[in-house]
Amino acid sequence: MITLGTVALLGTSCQKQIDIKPQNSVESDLALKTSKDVQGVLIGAYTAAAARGLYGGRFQVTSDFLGDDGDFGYFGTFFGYTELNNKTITVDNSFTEGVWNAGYNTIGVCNTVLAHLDLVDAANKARVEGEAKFLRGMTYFDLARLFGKAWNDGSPASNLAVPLVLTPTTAIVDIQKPTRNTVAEIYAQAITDLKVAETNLGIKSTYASSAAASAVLARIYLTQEKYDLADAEATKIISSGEYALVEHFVDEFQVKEQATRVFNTSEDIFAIQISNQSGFNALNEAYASSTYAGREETYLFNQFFDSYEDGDDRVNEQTDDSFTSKFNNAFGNVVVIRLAEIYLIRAEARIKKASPDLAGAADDINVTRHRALLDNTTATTAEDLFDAVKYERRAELKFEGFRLFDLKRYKESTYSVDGDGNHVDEFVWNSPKLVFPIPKRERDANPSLTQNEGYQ
Amino acid sequence: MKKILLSFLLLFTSITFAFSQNSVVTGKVTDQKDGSALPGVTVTVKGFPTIGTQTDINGNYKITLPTGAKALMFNYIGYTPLEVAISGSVMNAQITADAKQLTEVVVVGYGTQSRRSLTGSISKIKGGDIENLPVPSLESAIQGKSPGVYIQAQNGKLGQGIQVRIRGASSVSAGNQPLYVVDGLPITVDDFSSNGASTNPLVDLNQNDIESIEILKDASAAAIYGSRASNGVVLVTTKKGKAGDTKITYNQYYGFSKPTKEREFLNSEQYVTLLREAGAAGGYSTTSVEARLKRYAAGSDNYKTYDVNTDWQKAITQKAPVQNYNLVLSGGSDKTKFYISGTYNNQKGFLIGNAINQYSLRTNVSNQATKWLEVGANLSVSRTKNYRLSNDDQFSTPEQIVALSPITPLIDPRTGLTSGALDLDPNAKGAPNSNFPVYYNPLLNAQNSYFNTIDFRNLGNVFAQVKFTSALSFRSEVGVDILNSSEDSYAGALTARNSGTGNGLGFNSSVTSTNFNTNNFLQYIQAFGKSTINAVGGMTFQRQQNDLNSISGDQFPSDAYKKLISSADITNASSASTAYSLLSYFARLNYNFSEKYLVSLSGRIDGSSRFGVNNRYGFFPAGSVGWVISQEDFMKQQSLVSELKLRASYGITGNSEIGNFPSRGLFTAFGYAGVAGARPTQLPNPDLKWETTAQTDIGLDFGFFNNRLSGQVDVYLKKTKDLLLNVQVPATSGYTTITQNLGKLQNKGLEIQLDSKNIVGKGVTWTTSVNFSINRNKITDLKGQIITGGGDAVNRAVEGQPLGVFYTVEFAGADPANGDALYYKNTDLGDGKRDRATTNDYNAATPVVVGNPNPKFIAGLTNTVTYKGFDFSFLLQQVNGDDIYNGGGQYMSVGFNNGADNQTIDQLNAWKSPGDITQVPQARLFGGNGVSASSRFLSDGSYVRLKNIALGYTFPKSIVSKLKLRSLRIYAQATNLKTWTKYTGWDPELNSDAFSGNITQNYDFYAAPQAKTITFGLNVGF
Repeated sequence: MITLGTVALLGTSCQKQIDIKPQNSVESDLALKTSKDVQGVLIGAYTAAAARGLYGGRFQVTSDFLGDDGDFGYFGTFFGYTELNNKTITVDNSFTEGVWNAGYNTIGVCNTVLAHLDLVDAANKARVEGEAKFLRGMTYFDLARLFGKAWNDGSPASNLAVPLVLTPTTAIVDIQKPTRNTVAEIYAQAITDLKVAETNLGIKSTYASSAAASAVLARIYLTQEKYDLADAEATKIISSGEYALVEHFVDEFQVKEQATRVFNTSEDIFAIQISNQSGFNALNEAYASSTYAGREETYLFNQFFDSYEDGDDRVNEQTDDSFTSKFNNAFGNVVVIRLAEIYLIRAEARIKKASPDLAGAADDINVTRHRALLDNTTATTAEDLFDAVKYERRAELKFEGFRLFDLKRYKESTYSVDGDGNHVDEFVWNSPKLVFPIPKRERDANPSLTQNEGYQ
Repeated sequence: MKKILLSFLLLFTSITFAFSQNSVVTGKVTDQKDGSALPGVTVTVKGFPTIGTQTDINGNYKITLPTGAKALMFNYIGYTPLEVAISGSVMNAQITADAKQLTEVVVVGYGTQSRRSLTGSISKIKGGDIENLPVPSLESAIQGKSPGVYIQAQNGKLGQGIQVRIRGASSVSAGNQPLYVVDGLPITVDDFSSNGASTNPLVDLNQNDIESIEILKDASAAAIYGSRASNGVVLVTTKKGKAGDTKITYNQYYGFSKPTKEREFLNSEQYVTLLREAGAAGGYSTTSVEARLKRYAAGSDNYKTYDVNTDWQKAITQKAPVQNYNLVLSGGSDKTKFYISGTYNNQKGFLIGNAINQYSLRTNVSNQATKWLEVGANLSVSRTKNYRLSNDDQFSTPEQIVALSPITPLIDPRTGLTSGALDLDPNAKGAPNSNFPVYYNPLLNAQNSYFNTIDFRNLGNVFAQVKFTSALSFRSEVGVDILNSSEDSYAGALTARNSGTGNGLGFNSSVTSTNFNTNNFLQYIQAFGKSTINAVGGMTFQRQQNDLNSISGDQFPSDAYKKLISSADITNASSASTAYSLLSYFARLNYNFSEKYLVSLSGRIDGSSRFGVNNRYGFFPAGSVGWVISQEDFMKQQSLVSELKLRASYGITGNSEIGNFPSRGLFTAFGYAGVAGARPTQLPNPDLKWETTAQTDIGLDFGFFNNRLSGQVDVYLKKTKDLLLNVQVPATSGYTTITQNLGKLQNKGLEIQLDSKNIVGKGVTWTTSVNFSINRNKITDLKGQIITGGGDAVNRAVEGQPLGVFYTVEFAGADPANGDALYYKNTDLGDGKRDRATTNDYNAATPVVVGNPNPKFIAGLTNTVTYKGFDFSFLLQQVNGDDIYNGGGQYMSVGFNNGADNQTIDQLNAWKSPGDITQVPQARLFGGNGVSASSRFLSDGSYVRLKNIALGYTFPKSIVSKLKLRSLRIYAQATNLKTWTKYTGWDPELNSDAFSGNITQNYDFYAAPQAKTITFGLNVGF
């Protein structure tokens, strides 16, 4: 009987023992109880956006590889990059799928923050809402322009982009299988989100700011050919006086010899914060030579060097005549928006708007030219100034995730190239091959998503 | 449920007390052969069929005599019945094994049983069969020895994980490895590796200390282990001392190992010729191709004359001595028995930088403290140091050296150093070369870095057994398995191209895994006339906690400083903790009528911390019946059939190997450049529960010609439902996978074991043992989803197909017109047919099932011959009908289409000019022609292997006694001496250590070949 008693006793005392709480993570019902918790999840949204699949670098790399026409070639073992570089993406390309997954993960975390705004104390509420909406708006805009047709390609009101999801998923039963919304609907949501961010946020911050929101709005308006609005958004940033170009082009790009935690420069408007403790710089991985911790797989071709005017300092931003040195610090921040782009957005808008301001455009162009140790532009006509701004964007923003979208806006072709950088096949600006496929994994999980043209 | 169990136990207790007391006889029953105690012998009083008992675990019995008792009857399966006239109150008996009924004791969950009374399917491997095998862990030692057990080593690196599948894989996402129980204690088998290549905690067990391994295969045998039994249970019993003189045994062996095979690559001339051809076809100018070749040839023009022809596979192979020393003392008295063993094992791998070094000590002691109390302890401590290598997916793993060009010299003549060690460019400031050789040279890792793991393992349990009556006893076991595994690594400055940092990279981690277990159960053994009842019931509780911490840093003053105390920049530091617990109640009732009719019922209730609050407890019942036909009167007349038993079982088992917190909704912290944040990472699933497997088994045990030929045949059907699946969900939810109980799969199979004593003579004996098994795995329901494995995701879980099928585009050879890779479109035409037209557009081809990594059958054949003092044995092991996918093929077998990696020899057959009919598309440097995943990289993985061959000589007693020794044997043996296969890769027994999992199987990715080891040994008894 003693034995049986012991058995029974052991039994009861052990009942509690099979309820073991996780210690490395926190259970959902404990994670969102206070204002501080919600603000922590807002930081979590930045970490989601900072994933290597998205603004940690692969948003930029995937679009640049697809847009490039021979400034560089990819000679590496990531076959997903090879496909992008050859403009022969397959539906299970892990990099395009990665952008989709990381994009919606970011949106999901932002939605979680926005669904719990009622917990945030009054002093922080507007800011928290603004930052979450900035990240969500920018992500939607970028997903729409990667996975949907360009704004100027047919009808944005009927062309499909990506599904619009504005509420968080908190239980298995809540998982939806949404259909794709139109390009116009996604752009509209992005603008709505970014306008809230612009209103709610201060002009400058390590995190999202009103300047950052204005910058993305300026990008969207430029894409939509709403030049007056683009001009106005760019001007808000420039005339705030809070941002200034760094003196030398090279100073904007954080080199390896610098510390392992580098803060934003005066020119940075929004940058993914990286240190040797957290974050991953996927631009460094894709572009840097192995001396600078990169994979040393993306080699510059002659076209890169030939594309610069004589004396342009920006051609010197390279290592061993073979690799760009823009991302030589593996622990450097990934700059998503910087002031130089804003000048060039405004220049383009000033040229293209209904009542052009050509002198103003030339002034804006000269800002980046001067920094690159070049003389004032000699262009005076709208046409020549437009060429000048195209040159500036290409010279200034190379490898920073702009080329594909610029080509589409300018309706210019790109080319696949051979091993020496010679053009092989032409891809016109609205080629279906220049739009990402909806990832196969996603369509397997959600059959209500239609596939893009050219990937069926 | 607990209540029911208690009354159940009480019932047993009361039965015992129901007997009236009279004069009492006690005694001990031993085996006439070696004097060992025999548990479970039925003792009855002649003429009183209702009065009887069974001997306990030490062979002791106690029986109350009725008035008029004259003689005791001793009955034991496999032994000649003995009748002894009553002559006092202590009656010891010796019984003799009946050759016709030879039987053995089999360890089962929470007890032992005689082989003849078994109704479940259990394979037993004797310790003697695996002694002194120079293999790193016990799974390798039992490979090929048991039907239904498919064992596959990952690759030839020492101490790597090993895949064991008992009757097929029962899960898609949860664990598929069996439960390992050592002396009643379920041991820790977690892989704590940080470098992407799994390690195997079973290497800490010393094979030479093992008395027997029992593999519980069907539900009847395994269900007593409940929610962890679906993958089978491996019971390991360690050696115990026997009463008698202290025996001292010393054993040592020494040998060496080599790779079983090397893969054939292009030589210099072939490399230069094909690269030029590929360069031209890829649109590269002659100048750029020649410049490339010159760069690979260390800046020399000598590649034009093929002066350098480096065999890189030789460069990563080192001399690999194996040595093992083992000293055992065992013996004891009737009261106290002991077994003490110490082992030193030192083994170098054939891959440069790989070694394992192990000390272990075991002490097993038991003591009969009083007549009613026995206590004991089984303790082992070990230290294992493993000098490890990078995982297969790293440029630094030795086997990736094959990517280097044969025109690259081992030593760069410009520097006099290993190629890649120094960049001559003055701007490089003495840094290692970053673009020569073509990839990072793994030799730099071997020379300038280390990654060592040290395991301290303390495995022990203490037990007490209390005998209340001759029939009823209580056993309590308390055990701990403490595993402390620490990793220490440093990568020096010259590894910068691989480590990404030029001033050294250090890493250190430590895991303490504390696994506590207690078993408390009552045993009741009683005979009632022709009936015998053997019942067990009790509870068990287990809790395992893993506490982990790790730290990494870079910036060291020089390579002379290797510990993190010298790091100027700590880049990562972390600590973490995780735990699970399991509280269970179990009971089993075996009923044996007249040694003819056998029934067994068992049940277990498991409460697990891992499952959702709505499903915390599971019940796992099993039942089986056996009919010993050979015991029937109508069989007594003949002598052809000496043993015949029909068995049938059915039961439910579970699988809970899915991580500790899959049912909880989780938020996880992430830092953002020094600022703390958190985000949701897992959706809650409060309904989550174990996977459930219902298994039916029908078996036949037989023996012919006085058991000269004996064997077992089993057929089984295992149906698993409620699969724990990482279900793919739309990423638009913010999540990509969630864990749910969804889907079904099944395994069905046939197992045959045959043992034949071909010659039983005084001088010569010859035995043959054959096992053969077929398992067919099929996923019956995945709710339409396709789950991909790691690597190229060519292994998939697809409904209607076996787990892990190769599901990809079907390759159709090279287009004779232009050398493009062609693929079959395989578009589903709707009528069960597919479009067999070919296309060069990879995206236009539909993926289909092109192969299966699961073997059609596996088999083993053992032959043992003894002649006078000589003994000779060999084991042939066969795996048939599996396919292997070469994941490295996209780099090494694509005619430079994916880079300048050296190519396999078959690439010489590449398409060259219009009209060529070949399976190898045109070589185009960086051309991407044929590099996408397809059946191009698939091949047959069948093999037959001479797994083990041994020759020994035992010196005759006359010589031994002159030397004042008890025994002396010398032996030589070899493992993996010869392999017959059509596989053109390194070795057909493989799983990439970087990608292998439930789904990704038979996926080759620079997987090192297995070791072929030859050893010479000496065994001395004092």
